Amino acid sequence: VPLTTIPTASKPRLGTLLLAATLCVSPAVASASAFETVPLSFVERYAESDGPTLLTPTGLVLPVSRSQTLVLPLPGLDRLELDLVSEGHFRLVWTNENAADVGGSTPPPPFLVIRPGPSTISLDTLIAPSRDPGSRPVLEFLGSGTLTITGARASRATGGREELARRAALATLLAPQTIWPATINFLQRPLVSASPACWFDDAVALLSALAAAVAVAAAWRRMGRRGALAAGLVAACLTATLLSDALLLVRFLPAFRLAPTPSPEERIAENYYFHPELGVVAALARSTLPVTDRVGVIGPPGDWFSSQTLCFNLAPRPCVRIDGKGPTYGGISEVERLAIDQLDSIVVVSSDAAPPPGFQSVAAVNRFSFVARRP
Amino acid sequence: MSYLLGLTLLVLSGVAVLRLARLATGCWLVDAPLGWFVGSGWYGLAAMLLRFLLGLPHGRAAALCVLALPIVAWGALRYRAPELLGPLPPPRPALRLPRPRWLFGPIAAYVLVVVVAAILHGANTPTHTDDGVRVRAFTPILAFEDSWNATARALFMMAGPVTTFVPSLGWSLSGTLDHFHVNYFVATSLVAFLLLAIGLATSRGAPERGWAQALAALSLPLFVYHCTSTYSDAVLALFLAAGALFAMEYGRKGDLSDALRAGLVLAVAATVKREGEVVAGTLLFLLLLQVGWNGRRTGHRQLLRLLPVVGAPLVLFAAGKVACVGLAQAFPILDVLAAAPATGASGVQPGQRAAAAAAFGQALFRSWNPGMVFWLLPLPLLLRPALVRSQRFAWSLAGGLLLLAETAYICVLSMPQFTLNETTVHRALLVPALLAACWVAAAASEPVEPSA
Repeated sequence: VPLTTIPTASKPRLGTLLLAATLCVSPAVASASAFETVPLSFVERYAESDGPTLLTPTGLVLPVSRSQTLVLPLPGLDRLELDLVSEGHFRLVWTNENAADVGGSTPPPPFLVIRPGPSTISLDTLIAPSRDPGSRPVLEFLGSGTLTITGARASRATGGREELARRAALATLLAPQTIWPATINFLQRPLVSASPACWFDDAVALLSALAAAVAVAAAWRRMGRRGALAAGLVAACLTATLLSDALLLVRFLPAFRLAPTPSPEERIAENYYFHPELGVVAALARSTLPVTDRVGVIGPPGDWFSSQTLCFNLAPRPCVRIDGKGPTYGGISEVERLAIDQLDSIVVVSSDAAPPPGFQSVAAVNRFSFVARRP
Repeated sequence: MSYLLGLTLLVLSGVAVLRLARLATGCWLVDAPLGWFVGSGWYGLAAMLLRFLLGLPHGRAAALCVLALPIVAWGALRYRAPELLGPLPPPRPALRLPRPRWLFGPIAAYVLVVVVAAILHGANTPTHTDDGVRVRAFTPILAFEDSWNATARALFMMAGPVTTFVPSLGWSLSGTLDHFHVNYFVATSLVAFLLLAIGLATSRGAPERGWAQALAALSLPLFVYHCTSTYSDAVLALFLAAGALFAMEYGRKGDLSDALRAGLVLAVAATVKREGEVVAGTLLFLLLLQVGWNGRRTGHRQLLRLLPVVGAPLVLFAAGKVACVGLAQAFPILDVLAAAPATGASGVQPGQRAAAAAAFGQALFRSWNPGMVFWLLPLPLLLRPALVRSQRFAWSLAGGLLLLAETAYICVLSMPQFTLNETTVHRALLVPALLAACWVAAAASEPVEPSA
């Protein structure tokens, strides 16, 4: 996750501390203006949302049902801090107004995980796609449950369009690597400067060539031609490797989960970063269902990934995905095939589909994610 | 605990195989990590043959028998007929730390930080990729359940015996399925490779080379990320690079034992993932060529010793595949390679290949996925041409370039669509990138010999 939630009631995690250190040295952040408090009544009145919002004495309440989008009335925002009290497991995706639809090989917009309880989150709009001086930030909460925003602070962007593009490129270059299923295919593109376009690799190659030239010149008289050229090779390799390694550490360490977690159940529950509710449901089903149960999984329409991943985590229980017309349904890679009347239990994740007749809910994360068994 | 038990048994079994084949080096810094690669190959291959060729059920008893066999055989030979195990390996030079300390201290710190981070993040992260859930981390579950219908067997053909049976070993021993053993398997392969690179170079009196190779390997960003996942691309690269380290040593000293070790590990690499057959086959072909070239004046006795070491596992692997899915489906990789390069014949749109060539160049030089290694690859040719032309470096460079050419062929000509949408191109480059990293690091750390 690009930014880690900071639970106010517990000690900061190692990843959070590393992220804080990274952000402190980032020039993009250093040039941001100071935070100002944003009245929640202003947000409630002018924000656009595709779901209900309710201003209460506690804060701005969002009763999220699987997803809710909030377009904040804060154009030209630089950074945003939100104090939250959550009653669910959410993925918060943030982007900018008019951002292109994400799909194909495009990296996803940045996101973070919100767990139940109070927390303070910090969002950098510079690293979200399609940032321009007038764009409003868009927050999308994915998950179910009540979310209360109890406080909001924002800092405004400084400088014009060019300055913004420069800072956005640098912030994106140094932002923690976003980890999602397709990270396995490619990492975020390292652009040092958008205009004029300057790739990180090109810049490092140039610096390495300079380092090699300096090393050759310095060593020529003392070491002779062969020795000097060998020194040039070492200088180029070290310069290129060390600069690239520095970026690797900056991008990976804050994104990695580094705290040892001995319990596999805890790892499954907490470390599905891009779909926090999925991990919680998987852990709940694993603890609820006997290993001899034959399980059917219902996921959100069109989302083959959640049900397949749930089936994977429920192994060795025979498991199929109920995602099409019966009478039999296929499991992972269609190795397993079972009919509804062969199933002992049903697991539903982030779906408003009702379980087939004859199954009763025995454990639930929320009304869209639960475990049901035959009585 | 069950994973650690399985790991220990695998390494001991692998070391026993090495002793039986007279290929142990006598240095535990090398033999232990090499034992991991050889033991994985032995266990994967034997489990595959028992299950599919002989039709025996796969479980705790079969696993223990397979692992115990080389250990018992070695023990029996050592007790009854020690002369069959050959003479003790020659003494190695005293081990030393790399110099200068001011340079290699931070390098060691970087290696340590990245390895620990990769292990922790890898162990913490449940399988979350499509390919991991459908194939790579799923076939070990099928092995644990010993459930092999036609669909499951087709998946096994994609995954290969090593990545199927080795991660499931702990489950077979304990009877309990812990999904994270697949993650530990990947992490163990990474650690084994790094230990092998450092240990091998240290045992040959050049620890600087080993540490430089470890640094170079961990400077490949996508490779490091892959090591935290349950994908098999990094595992294949690690097995291949482990074999390539010994091939480089053979080029350096001309010791046939190193060629035999390289051949054995590369044969194991051929059983990792379907694509392993092609990439390992390429390096094996080159190794045979190299050994044959070296023996052109002294007869081909060396080549005749290498052939059974390489051929036996490959023949058994092929027999296991045919027993699993039948002859017609046993070698699907041939279909992939035979995908007609003519426009239209394989669903390729006009202009796609030109665009894919440009995207391939971006992937090499501007995507940061392979780090800076492809920028650095030509430098030894420019700055140390005599070194590159020597036996020590020329063959291993040829191997790396051949793999790069194969990757370019597949990414640009055979399947340009997956290069354009970036779903496979960067992963396909992991193998050549790791080999190139090891080669460049070796060239950069090679001392300058005094002029004649």
